[in-house]
Amino acid sequence: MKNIIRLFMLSLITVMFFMGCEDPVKTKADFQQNYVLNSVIRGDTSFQVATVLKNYDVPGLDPNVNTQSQFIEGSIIRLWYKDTVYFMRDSLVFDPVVHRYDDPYKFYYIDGFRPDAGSYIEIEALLPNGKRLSSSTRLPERINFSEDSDYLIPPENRKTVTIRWKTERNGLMFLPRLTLRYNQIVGGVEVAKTVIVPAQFLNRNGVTDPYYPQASKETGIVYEFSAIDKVLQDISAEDENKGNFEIIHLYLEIATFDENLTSYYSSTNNIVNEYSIRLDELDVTNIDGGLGIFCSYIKNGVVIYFDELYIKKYGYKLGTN
Amino acid sequence: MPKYFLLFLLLSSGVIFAQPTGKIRGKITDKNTGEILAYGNVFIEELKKGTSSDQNGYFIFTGIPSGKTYTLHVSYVSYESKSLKAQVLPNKITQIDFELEPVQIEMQTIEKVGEKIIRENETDIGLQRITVRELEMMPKGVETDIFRSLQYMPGVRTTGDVSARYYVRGGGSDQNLVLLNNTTVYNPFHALGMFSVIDPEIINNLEFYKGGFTAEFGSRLSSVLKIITKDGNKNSFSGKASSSYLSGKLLLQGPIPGGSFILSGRKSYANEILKKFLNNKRAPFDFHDLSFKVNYADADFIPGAKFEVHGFLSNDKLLNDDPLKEDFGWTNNLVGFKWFHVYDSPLFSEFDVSLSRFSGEVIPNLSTTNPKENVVNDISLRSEFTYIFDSKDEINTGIHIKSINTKLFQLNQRGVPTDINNTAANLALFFKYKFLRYKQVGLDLGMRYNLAGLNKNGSGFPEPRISATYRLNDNIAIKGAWGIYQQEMTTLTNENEVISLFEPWVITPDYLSPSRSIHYIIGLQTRFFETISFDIEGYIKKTQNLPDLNRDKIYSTDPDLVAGRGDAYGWEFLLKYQDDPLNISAAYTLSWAYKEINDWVYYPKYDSRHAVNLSLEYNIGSGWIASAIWLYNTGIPFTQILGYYDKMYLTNIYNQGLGGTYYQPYSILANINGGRLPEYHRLDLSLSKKFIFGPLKIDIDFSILNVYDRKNIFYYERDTGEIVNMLPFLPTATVQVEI
Amino acid sequence: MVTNWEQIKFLEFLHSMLSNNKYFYVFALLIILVFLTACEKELSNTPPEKPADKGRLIVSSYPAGAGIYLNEKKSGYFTPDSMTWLNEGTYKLVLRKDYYKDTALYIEMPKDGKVEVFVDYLKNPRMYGTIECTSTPPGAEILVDDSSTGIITPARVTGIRPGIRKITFKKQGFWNTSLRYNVYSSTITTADFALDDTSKWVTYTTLNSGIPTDEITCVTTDKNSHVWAGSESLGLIYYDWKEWKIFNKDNSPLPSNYVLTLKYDYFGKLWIGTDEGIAIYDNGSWEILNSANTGMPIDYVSSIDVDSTGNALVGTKSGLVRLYNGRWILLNSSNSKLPATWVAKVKFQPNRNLWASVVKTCLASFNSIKWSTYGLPDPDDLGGSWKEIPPNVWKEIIAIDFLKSGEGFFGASVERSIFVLLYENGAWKTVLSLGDNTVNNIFCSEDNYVWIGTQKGLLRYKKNVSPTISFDPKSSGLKSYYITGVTEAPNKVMWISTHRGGLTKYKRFN
Repeated sequence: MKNIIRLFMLSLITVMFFMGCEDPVKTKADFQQNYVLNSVIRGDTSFQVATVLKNYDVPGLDPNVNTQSQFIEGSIIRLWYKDTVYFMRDSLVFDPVVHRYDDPYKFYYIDGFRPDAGSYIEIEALLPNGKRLSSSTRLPERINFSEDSDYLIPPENRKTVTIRWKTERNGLMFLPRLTLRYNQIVGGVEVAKTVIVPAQFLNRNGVTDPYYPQASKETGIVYEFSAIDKVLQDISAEDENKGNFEIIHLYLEIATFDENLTSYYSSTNNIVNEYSIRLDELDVTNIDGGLGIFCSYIKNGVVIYFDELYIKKYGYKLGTN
Repeated sequence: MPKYFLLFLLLSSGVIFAQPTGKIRGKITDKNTGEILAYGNVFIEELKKGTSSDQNGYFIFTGIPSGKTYTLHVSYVSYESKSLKAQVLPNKITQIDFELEPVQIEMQTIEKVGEKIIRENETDIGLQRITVRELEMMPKGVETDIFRSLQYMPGVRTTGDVSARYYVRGGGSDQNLVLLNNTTVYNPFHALGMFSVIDPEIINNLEFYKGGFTAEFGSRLSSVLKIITKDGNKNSFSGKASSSYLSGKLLLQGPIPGGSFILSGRKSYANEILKKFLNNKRAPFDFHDLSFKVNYADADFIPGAKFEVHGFLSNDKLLNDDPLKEDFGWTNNLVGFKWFHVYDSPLFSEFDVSLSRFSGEVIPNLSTTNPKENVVNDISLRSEFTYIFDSKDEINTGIHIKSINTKLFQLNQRGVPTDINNTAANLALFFKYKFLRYKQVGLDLGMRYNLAGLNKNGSGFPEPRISATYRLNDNIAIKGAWGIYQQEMTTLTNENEVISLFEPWVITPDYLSPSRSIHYIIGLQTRFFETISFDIEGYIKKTQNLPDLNRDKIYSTDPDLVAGRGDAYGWEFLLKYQDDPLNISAAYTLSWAYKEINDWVYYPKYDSRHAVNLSLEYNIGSGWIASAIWLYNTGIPFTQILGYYDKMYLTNIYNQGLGGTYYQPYSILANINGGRLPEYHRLDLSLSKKFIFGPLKIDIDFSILNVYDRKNIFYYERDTGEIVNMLPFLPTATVQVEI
Repeated sequence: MVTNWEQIKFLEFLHSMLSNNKYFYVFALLIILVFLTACEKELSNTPPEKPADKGRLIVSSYPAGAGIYLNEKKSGYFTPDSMTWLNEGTYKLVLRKDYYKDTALYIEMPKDGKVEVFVDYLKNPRMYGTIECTSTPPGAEILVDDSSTGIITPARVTGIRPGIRKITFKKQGFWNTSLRYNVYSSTITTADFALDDTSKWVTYTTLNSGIPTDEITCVTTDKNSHVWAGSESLGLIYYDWKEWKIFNKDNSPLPSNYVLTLKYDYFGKLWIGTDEGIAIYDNGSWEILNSANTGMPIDYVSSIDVDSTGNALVGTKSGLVRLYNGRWILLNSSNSKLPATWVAKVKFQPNRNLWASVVKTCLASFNSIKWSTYGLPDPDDLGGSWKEIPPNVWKEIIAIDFLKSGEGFFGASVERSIFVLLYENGAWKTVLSLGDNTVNNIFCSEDNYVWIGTQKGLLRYKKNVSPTISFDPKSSGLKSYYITGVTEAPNKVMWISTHRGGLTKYKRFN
C-alpha cells in the first residue's frame, strides 16, 4: 500500500510539474529578403505582363495579416527573343478587382510582343537595388488534332465526345475548354452568346454540379455527350421560343503549357492528397536568384459541328458562323 | 562448405576428449495451450550450467559428463517453475520436455533462476527479446501495438504520437526489417501508419535488434524485428473476443490431429477516435487483417519434423464516396510454409518458402490528386542449419533466395511521372560460428555473402559481422559488435511528410549502388544486485549510398533517387529495477543523427538529442496491475520559415486580361530541419484488471494517454500558422473476453 | 590443443588484469569515450545573400548608336548608355554597329566602381572599308560621296567610312556613273562599271580593245543591243559592251570560222551563214543547217533573211532555198525562174515580195503568186518580163534593203559604174551615182536614212534631203574605207564592220 501511495505521489508531482506549460517555438529563422519574378508568356496574345515582388515577414504565424502588396516598381525587365531585346514598361497599375491589399496590383507589361510557337525567350529583371532575377522558357509547339476524334455532334457512340491530339514535346500539360457558340434573339436583336461546356455533370448528394476538365498530361479529352445535351437544353431554359436560338458550333481550345508551367501548375493546383501532411511543399520556381516562375503556353482550337437534325430536335436552328 | 564444417567438428571434438559426455535437449511449452515458451531459463543445478530456450522453445545442453543424473530447473515469467531429473548417457541425447503451468492471476511472480550464468557469455548486444507476457504488460492506449511498444526502448524514435512508424538509431524507417514468421512484411501499418498491422494477440515472441545483428539477417541496414506467431492451443478449442475504440477482434484456436491451428481477425468499425489523431479531420478508413497458422508435428510421419503453414492478410481502404475526392487502398498478403526439423544429433534445420505481396494505390477519381500505384511481390526461399558442438560452440549456416518484383507508378509534385517495373533476384549465403566454449568469452563470427544482388552493384558483396562478449566478473560484462550491412530496396517517399499514405517500395535502381552501412557497437552490462541492472551501449552507424528522393526531378528520365550519406552515433543508458511487485525501468539516450544529401548536411526529422523513458509497473494484486510511462525527448528538427511571399496562382488560363492570376501568401523555407520543436514529454497511465466470470476470462484495461494534457507540437500549418498538437488527454478502455 | 590452452591462459591473464576490482576504470574509460564521441557535426547553412555591387559602366562611341553586348549577351542598350549594378569582375564588352567591325574590350570592374568606355571607331584604321574600283575602260577618277579622291581606276580605295557610300566614276569622254555601295569595316567591296562613252565614233581594233581581229565581214545586233559580228577566219565575235568573246569551230558547234552573213530574227535567234552551212544560235543552244539536213544545194551561204513568221530565205552559191511553213524548198527554174547559181543577196520586202539577186544573172522577186525577174540579157534563158528596166543597164545587184514604207534601195553595178537605184511603186529610179565605187551593203535605219557601205566609205542618203554625207577615216572615227556591214542596235547605236579596220561604233544621236 505504501508503494501505491508513493507511486501516486510521484505521478502527482510529475503532473504538477509539467501541467499546462507550453514552450514557445521559434518557428521562424532570421528573416532574409528574397525577390520574386513572375511572368507567364502567352502565345495567343501580344500583350505580356510580369510582376516583381519581395517577400515579407509578419508578426505571428498568419501571413494573411499583411495587407500591403509587395509589388516592386522601377525594375528593368528585358526579354530576349530571337535577335532582339524587348523592354517591359514600368508599372502599369491595374486593379480589375478589389484584392486583399490596400494598394493595387502592379504589372510590368509589353504590348506587341507575340512570340512564335516553339520559340525560346529569356528574361531578366534588374531590380532597383541591383538584384537580378533571370530565367528562360521555350514556348510549346502547336498541337495537332487527330483525325480519329469526334468532330460531329452527335458522336457515333452517342455517349462520349472524344478529341485527341498529338504533340511534339512529351510531358506537357494541357487545359481544354469547350465553348458552345450560339445566337439568341433577345428583344428582336440577335445576340452572339457563348457558354462553357463541362466535361460532365456530377450528381453529389442530390446536387448536380458541372465538372470542367482539369489540366492534365493526357493528349485527349472526353466530354460526356449528356453534358453537351444538357447545356443545349439549359440555354433555352428561360426562353420558351426555341426558334430564337441559332446554334453555331462547339469550339474546343487546348492550352498547352510549357515544362515550367506544367511543373508550376502541378505543384500549385494539385494536392498530394487530403491526408498526407507534408511540411516542405515543393515550391516550384525556375527563377535564378529568386523565386517565382517564368513560363509560357499557347492555345489552339478546333471546331466541332452539329448535325442539323440533332439541333432541330431542340427546336433550334443550325446557324453557320 | 562441408570441408570447413568437418574442420570445426574436429576442432571441437578435441576439447572433449577427456571424458565421455552426453547431451540434454528439451522443449518448454505452456501446459494449458501447448504453446511454446521462448527464452525460458533452464538451469542444471549440479553443474551450475544454464541455457535458455530459443524462439522455437527448444534448449540444448552439450558436453555434459555422462553417467549421472542431473536436476534441471526451468523458470519462466508468470509461470510456475518446475524441476525435473534427467540421466545423461554417453554420446546420447536425453530428451526432456517441460510443460509449465501459468501462475494464478493474483500472484504473478517473476522468478528467473540462474539468469547470470545463462547470460554470462551471450553475444546479444543490441538485441532485445520480448515475450508475449511482457508485451501484454505494456500500456495499451487505444490499441496495443507492438511498434508503439518498441518506441519505449532507448534508441528507438518516433516523430509523433500519430505514427507507429519507428526509426532506430538514426536510420530511416525503411531500414527496419519486419519479419513475420520469417517472411518480410513490406508495409506493416494500418491507417496512415497509425497502427501496426500485426495484432499482438497472435504473437508468441519477438526479437528486436537495434543494430549489430548477425549474419542470418540481411537486406536492411538498421534493425530487425523478428516476430513468431502463436501455434494455437494444442489441447482445447478456445475463442477470444475483444474490442477497443477502433476495432473488434476475434481469435479462434484449437487442436487438430498432430498439431493445432490459430486464426485471428481484426476489423475496424469506428474511426471517431482517429479524429484525435488527425487534427479532427474525418478519415473514412476501413481496415481489417487476418492471420492464421496451422502446425503439424507427428512423430509417426517424420520424426523430429514440424510443419507450419501460416498466412497473413491485411487490407486498408479509404473510400471517400465522392467523385471529387481520391480513394486509397493497400494490402499486405503473406503466405508461408515452414519445415522445422530436429535431428538425432544436436542439429536443427529450418526450411521456409514464402510469398509476400504488398500493393497500394491512390485512385484520384476527379480530384487533382496524382494517381499512384505500387506493387511488391516477394518470393523467398530460406534454408538454415544449426549445429551445436559439445563444447557449446554453435555453427549456423544457410542460404536465402529472394525473387522480388516491384512496380511503381506515381507523379511527383511537378507532375513528372515515375514508372518502374523491376524484377530481380537475391541469392545470399551466410555462415557463422559462435564460440561459446569459454565462460568469460562469447564470440559470434559471421559472414553473409550476396552471390547475386537485386541491384546489379549489390552482387558479390561480403557482409562480415562480429559480435563479442567479455565478462570481467560476475557483475560486469563488456560487449561489442561490428558489421557491414547492405540494403537493396528503398521506399520512394519524402521523409519530411509528417503523415504519408503512400510509401512505395522499389528495388534500388541500378544507377545507384545499394546503401551500405557499418555498425560499431560497444556496451557494458552490469548487475551488481540481483534486482538492479545497468547497461550502457554506444554505437556508431555510418551509411553510404543512402537513397533520397530527388526533388529536382523535372523530366521523366531524371533519376527518382539521389545518393547521400548518413551518420549516426549515440549512447544509451538503461537502468532496470525488478523487485516484485514493482518494476521500474529508466532509460536515457544521447544521440546524434545526420544526413548528407547533395553535399548538404542536416538533421533528419527523427534526430533528437536527449531522450528519457521512464516506466513503472506495479502489481497491486488481485489481478490489478497499474503502470505509468513517462517519455521525454528534446525537440525534433523541423524546417523554419524564412518569410512569406505572395505566390502567384493561375486561376484562369483562358482569361484574356490581367485577372487570370491571384496572389496568396506562401512561406519560404529556411534550411531544412534547421529549427527544433520544443521538447516532447507525455505521461501515460494504465490500470488493468483480470478476472474470471463464470467460464469467461475477462481482461479490462483503462488507459489515459497524455495525463497532464501536454501540448506536444506535432507540426504547424505553414499557410495559416495554426499549431497542430499531438494526442491530447485521451482516456480509453478495452475489454477482452476469453472462453 | 596447445593453442587452446594458451588461449585460455592468455584470457585468464587478461581477466585477472582487468577484474582486479578495477572495473570502475572501465567505467571511467567509457565515460571518456562518451565525451569524446559526443560531438556535434557542422550542419550545412545557406549563406546570407550579399547586396549587389554598385559597379557602373558608361559606354559611348563615335559614331554613336552601337549596340552594347556584355559578356556575349545583347544588352538591348545602344551607345551612349550606361549599365548599373554590375558586380566586381572582368567583363567582355562588345560594341556592335552596322557596317563596322565589332569592338571587343575586356573591362575590369572594381567593386562598386565606375568605368567609362569611349570607342572612337574612326581612330581605328581597321574600321575603315576598302573599295576595289575597276571600270571599263579604265582610267576613271573615283569620287566617294561626291568628293574626289584623286585616284584613278583600276585602284583600291582604302580608308572609306563604313556605311552606304556613293561611288562615282568620272572619265573624260564617258558619262559620269555612280552607285551606292554597302561599305563594311576591313572588307573589300567591289565597284565595277562599264562606262558609257560620250563620243560619237569609237572604233574597236585589235590595238585598242579585246576584239580578236580587224577583218570583219558582217555585223548585227541583238535585242540587248549586244553586237554580233562575223570574221573572215576567226569565227563569230560577240561584244556585250564589256568584253569580247569569240565563237569558233574549237569552242562551239560553229561549222566554219569564215562567217559570211548574220541575221538576228524576230524570235531572238541568230542565223550565222558560213561557207560550211548555217548555224543558228539561240540563247546558248546551237542548230546546224546544211545541205545534208535541208534543201540547200550547197553549204556555202551568202545571204540569209528571216521574216516575222519564221519563213527564211537562204542564198547559197548554188541557188536559193526557201524555208516555208517549216519546209525547205529549193527554188530553181522549174518552180521559179531562178537559175541554180550564186545568189548574192536575199531580202523580204516588208509585207510584200521577197527578193533575191542572182550574181551576174538577174534580180528576182516573188509576190507569193508569181515570180518576176529583172535585168540581165539572155531572154532565151529566162524569159519573163523585162519591160521596166533596159536589160543592159546593170550587171548585178549586190545590196538590197527596204524602208519600212516598202521602198527599196538596190546597189547595182552597170558597166563598171555603180548606182544606187530606188524602186518605188513598181518604178526604178537612180538616186546615186558612185562611179567605180562598189556598194557592199545597204542598211535602212528606222528614221528612213539609207546607209550605203562602199569600198570607199559609208554614205548616208535620205530622200529629199541633201547633201548625201560621206563618212571615211578622214572625216569620222572609221579606221577603214572598206565597209562590209552596217546596222543599228535598238539603243540607236550604229555598228559598222570594216575590212581591216575593225568594228566601229557610231552614236549618231550623241
